[in-house]
Amino acid sequence: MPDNSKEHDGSKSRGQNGRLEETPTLPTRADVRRNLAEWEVELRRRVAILVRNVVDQNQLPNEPTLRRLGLDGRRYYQTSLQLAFRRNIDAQANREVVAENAGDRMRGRALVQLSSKPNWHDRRSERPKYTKRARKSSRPLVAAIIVATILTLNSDLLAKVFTSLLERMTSYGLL
Amino acid sequence: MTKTPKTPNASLPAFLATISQESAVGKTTLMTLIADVLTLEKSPYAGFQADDKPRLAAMLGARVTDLKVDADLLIEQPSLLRTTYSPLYTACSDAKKTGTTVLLDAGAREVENIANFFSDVDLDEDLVRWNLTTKFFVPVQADPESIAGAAMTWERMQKVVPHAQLILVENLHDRGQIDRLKAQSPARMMYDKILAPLVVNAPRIIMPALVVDFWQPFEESGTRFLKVMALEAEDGASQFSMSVGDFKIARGNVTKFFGAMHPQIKAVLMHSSDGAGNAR
Repeated sequence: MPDNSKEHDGSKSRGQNGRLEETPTLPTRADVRRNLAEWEVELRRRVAILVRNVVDQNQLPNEPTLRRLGLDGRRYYQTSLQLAFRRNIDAQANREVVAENAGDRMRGRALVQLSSKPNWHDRRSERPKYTKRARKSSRPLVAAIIVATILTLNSDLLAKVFTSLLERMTSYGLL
Repeated sequence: MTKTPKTPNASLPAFLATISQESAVGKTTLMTLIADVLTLEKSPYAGFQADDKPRLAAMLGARVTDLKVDADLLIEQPSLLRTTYSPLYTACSDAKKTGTTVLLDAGAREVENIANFFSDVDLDEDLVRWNLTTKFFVPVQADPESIAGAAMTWERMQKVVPHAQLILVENLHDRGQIDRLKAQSPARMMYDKILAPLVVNAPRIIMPALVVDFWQPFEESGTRFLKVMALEAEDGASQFSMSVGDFKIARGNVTKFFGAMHPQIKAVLMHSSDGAGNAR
C-alpha cells in the first residue's frame, strides 16, 4: 500500500485496444488506517445498541442485522453480550437485592432451626373447652366465697337472700 | 500501458488466469483482486474475459477484452475458436516486450474452449519460448461440485499447459475451510480422493469470506477494491445511497478482506516458478 498521498489524478489514458482507461484512486496507508478505525468505532456503536436491547428489553437482533456486522463484528457482539450479562449479575450492581435476599435467608434459617427442634412435652391430645375447664377449676372457690360471705353477715335478710341464691345455684347445677 | 514496474521482478510480466469449471466460486472477484494488486505494484496489465457475464469488464473498466465464443457458430466454424482467442495469444507473445501482464478470467462454461485453444496452438511450448511466467489460479469452495470442478480443471490445465504453475485458492465464502470439514462429509471425502493428491505441492491462497451485503453494492456498480478503500465515508455513502454508518462498516470489511488477500497474492506473484509448473 503506498504511503504517500493519493495518487489519483482523475485522468484517462489510451490503453489496450486504444480504449479509454481510468486510473483508479490508490488508497494510502492512512486510508487503510482510517477505514479500520472508523469501522471499529461504528461497529462498537452498533453492537452497544444491540447488546442494550438484549439486556434491557430482551429484544434479540435478527439474522440480517447480525450478518451485516460481518464475521469480526459478530464475534465482537457475542463477546460484548457475555460481558454485559456478567456485569448485570455482578454483586456490586445488585447490592441491594443481595442484602435483601440475605435477610430473608437469615430469617428462613431461624425458622428452620425452631421448627427443627421437637417439643416432646407438647400436648398431644386436644384440650377441653375453656368454659368446661373454667367451671371445674372455679367451683370450690365460688363456694368458699359464698360461705365466707354468709358467715360474715348477720342480717337475716341477707341470709335469706343468699340461702335462696345458693339453692337456685344448686338447682341449676352451678354448685 | 507502457509503465515500468516499480520493482523489477523476474515473475512479472506474466500470464495470469483464474479458471474453474464450477461457476460462482469467486473467479472474477479474485481476478479483480489480482488486478488491484498489480495496480498497487504499478505493474501494467491487459485484461481478457471469456464469460457469459462480463463482470470483470464492469469492474476494471475498458481494459478488458471480451473473448466470448458463440457456441452455435463454433459448431459450424471450428476455426472461430482460434480467431476469438488470438488477441490473448498476441498479448502473451508481446508481454515480455511491452512489460504488460496478461490477465484472463475464464468463465465456467469456457474452460473447455480455452483448453482446446491452448492445446490447438500449443501454447505451453510458446510460453516456454517467450520465457513468460504462467500462473493459473483455481478457486474452490468446500462443496462437492466445486471440488469436482476444480479437480477437472486442474487436471485439464496440467495436461495442456504443463509449465504453468497452478495455485489453489480456497474461498471460505459460505462453506468455510475444507480442512475443517468432518472426515465423513461428502465434500471432504471428495477432496481427499480427487483434489488433495493433485494439489499436494501447489501453493495455496486462503480467500476469506466477504459478506455479500458489503460487496454487492460495489460489485454491481463496478467499483473495485482500491476505489472503495480510497473513498471518504460521506462521499461513499452518497455515491452508494447508504447511510454513512453502513458505508463505514462495508468499507471496513472490504479493507480487511483486501488486507488479507494482498500479501498472499503478492507473494504468489513475486515468487518465480521458473516455468516448471507444479511438478518441480
